[in-house]
Amino acid sequence: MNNDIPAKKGNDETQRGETDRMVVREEWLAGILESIDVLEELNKKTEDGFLSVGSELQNIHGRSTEISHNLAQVMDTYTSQGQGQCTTTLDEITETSERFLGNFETTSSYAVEHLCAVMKIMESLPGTLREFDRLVSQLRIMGITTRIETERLGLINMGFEHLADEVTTLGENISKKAKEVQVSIKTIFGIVKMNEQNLVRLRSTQKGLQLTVARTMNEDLRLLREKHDVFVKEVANISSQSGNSLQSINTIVGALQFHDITRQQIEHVIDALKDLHARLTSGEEDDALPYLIIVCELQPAQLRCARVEFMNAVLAVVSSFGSLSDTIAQMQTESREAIGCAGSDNPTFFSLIGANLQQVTQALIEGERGLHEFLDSLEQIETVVSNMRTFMEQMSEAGDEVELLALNSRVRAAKTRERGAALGVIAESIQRISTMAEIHIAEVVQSIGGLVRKTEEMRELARNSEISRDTESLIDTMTENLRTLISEFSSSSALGKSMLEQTAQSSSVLRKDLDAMAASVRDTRAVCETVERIERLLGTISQEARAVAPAFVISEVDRRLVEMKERYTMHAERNTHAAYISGDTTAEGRSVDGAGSVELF
Amino acid sequence: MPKVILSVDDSRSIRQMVSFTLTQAGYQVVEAADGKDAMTKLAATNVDMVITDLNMPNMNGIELIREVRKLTKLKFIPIIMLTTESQDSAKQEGKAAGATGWIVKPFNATQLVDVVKKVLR
Repeated sequence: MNNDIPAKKGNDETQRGETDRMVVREEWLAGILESIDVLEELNKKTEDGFLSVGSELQNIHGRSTEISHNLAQVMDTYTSQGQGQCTTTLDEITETSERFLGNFETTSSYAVEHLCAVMKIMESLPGTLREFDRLVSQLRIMGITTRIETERLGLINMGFEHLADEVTTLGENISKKAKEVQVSIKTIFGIVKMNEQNLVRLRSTQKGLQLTVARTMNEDLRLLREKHDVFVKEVANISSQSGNSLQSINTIVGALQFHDITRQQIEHVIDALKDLHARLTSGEEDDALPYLIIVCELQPAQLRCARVEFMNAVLAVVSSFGSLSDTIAQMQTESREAIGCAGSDNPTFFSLIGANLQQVTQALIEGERGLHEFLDSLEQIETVVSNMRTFMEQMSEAGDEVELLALNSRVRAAKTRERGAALGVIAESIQRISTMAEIHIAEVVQSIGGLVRKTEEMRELARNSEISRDTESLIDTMTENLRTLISEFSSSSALGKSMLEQTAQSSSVLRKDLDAMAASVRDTRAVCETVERIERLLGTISQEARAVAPAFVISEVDRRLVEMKERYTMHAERNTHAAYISGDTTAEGRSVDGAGSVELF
Repeated sequence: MPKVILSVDDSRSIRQMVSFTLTQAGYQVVEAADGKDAMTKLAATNVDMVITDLNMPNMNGIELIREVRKLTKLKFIPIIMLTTESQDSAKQEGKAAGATGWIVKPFNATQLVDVVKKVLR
């Protein structure tokens, strides 16, 4: 026993004091043994708890890593092969549609312009042809007059009779040709009118389509791109979750090593208590007291630190788990949307895109058909115009014949001299008709020439222009792209299905893990509560030790505690365990700045 | 075939952590609770590397290294000390006994994997 124990006041008092002290000492000894048992039990419980939580965290980490890895793969495939290709193809279709519509607009606008010019020409022709009718009537009258005059003169000259016949025939001939030209004009007029109406209607449809492409398709494309970007980010996110595996391992490893610290610290307290008990039994307790008090008062800070770090690490793993769970939920939604395009009662994003595409495709096919119809009608116009050209050549020949007739009339009239004066008048009339016919024929020929040129221009424009060739190639490309897109949607849908299956599977695993995780969190709390109990118990042991320790021991202990708390608690609280578990029984400890350091020899 | 590493530590949680870290990195891990247990495991298994604690019951880490170095077939096997001990004198003792390297606890999983990769390269 220590000599500094308070002075004895008398024999009775001394004896009573000694008895009391013995009782306290016995109680204390029993209390120390009880504390050792409790600490050993709690340490075992803590170790089991830490190991169980650690084991569960490792399992969950393993599953999470596997899930992240699998999901990243599935998502990457879906994003690059499914959604990515759909986006590219839809982009191409939209671009092609826009180019097609641009070309159609240019072509149809020229075509309508040309048709208007043709119409103008057509409208001027009937007037000219009416003039022909008048000339033909005059020729007919000339023929009759010639015949009457010939009979009146009684001229035995077959030439005049012949002249009368020629005038009549020529008139009938010109009339017939003019009628044929009129029929042709009606035909062309009908074709042109129909084409103009068709083109105007098509242009209006295509303009609507342009709006659809500009608004809907571009909006679809924008949304698809947005979704694609979100998926790409998700893939990166989930890949980084998978890639951050080592970081999670570090967190778990770091957290669970605190258990080792805690375990060894408690073992150290147990050793200190055993040592104290042995010394108390052998009467040397005072030497062990300072160490016990220091250990009991320093350890709670370390235990608290370990407890908090452990809890934080478990929460970090839980949080990372939650993030994975959120990602999976989002992937499930996206997968369902992706599958929707394969046929679903509820309109989904992909099915809406599909509907828009169908609308665009239909309108484009109609546009293409319209252009083909236009080309076919141009062929018809060409044939009719070609016929008209023949008629006009024939009419031109008829004009020449009128000219000859006029000349012939003048010659005949000259031969008959005074008697044939009336025939001279007829000859002059025929000459006048011939001149008029020449003028009208020239007008018609010019008009038909204009018609031919315009038709050739339209033909050139529609058949041989760069735009036309480009348009046809665009339609081919687009048809091919649409086919590809349908197949890609189907493939995307299959990938979506695979992703949904994968996510559903992962989700089911995660649901089970969530239960395990909740149990782990509960276990963690229980472990932390046990550590807290140990902390409180150490406080009690320390208080009891202080109660029996002499004053000089207390003051020495307090001095050393101030120094040690400054040294460890403030400087490197989490590493102070090294001082104890290294076997430094003076509790002086040493610098543990080398924690985690690596040295290869 | 994955490389086999023997983890020797009297602490179950440290063995669990070493095993977890190295398994995740693609290694196969065999565990031993102390130096004596490690010698038994070494005799029964083809091991490529040993990671051992210093303070252990029955046979400590330094004693284990000395015993291992006596065996011809394990004379050059890499042995890393994984301990809370950071004093130079202890490190020198380990080096003299034949340790390949020294890691001070608490260890970092990344560091441990890096050291293993470096030593087994």
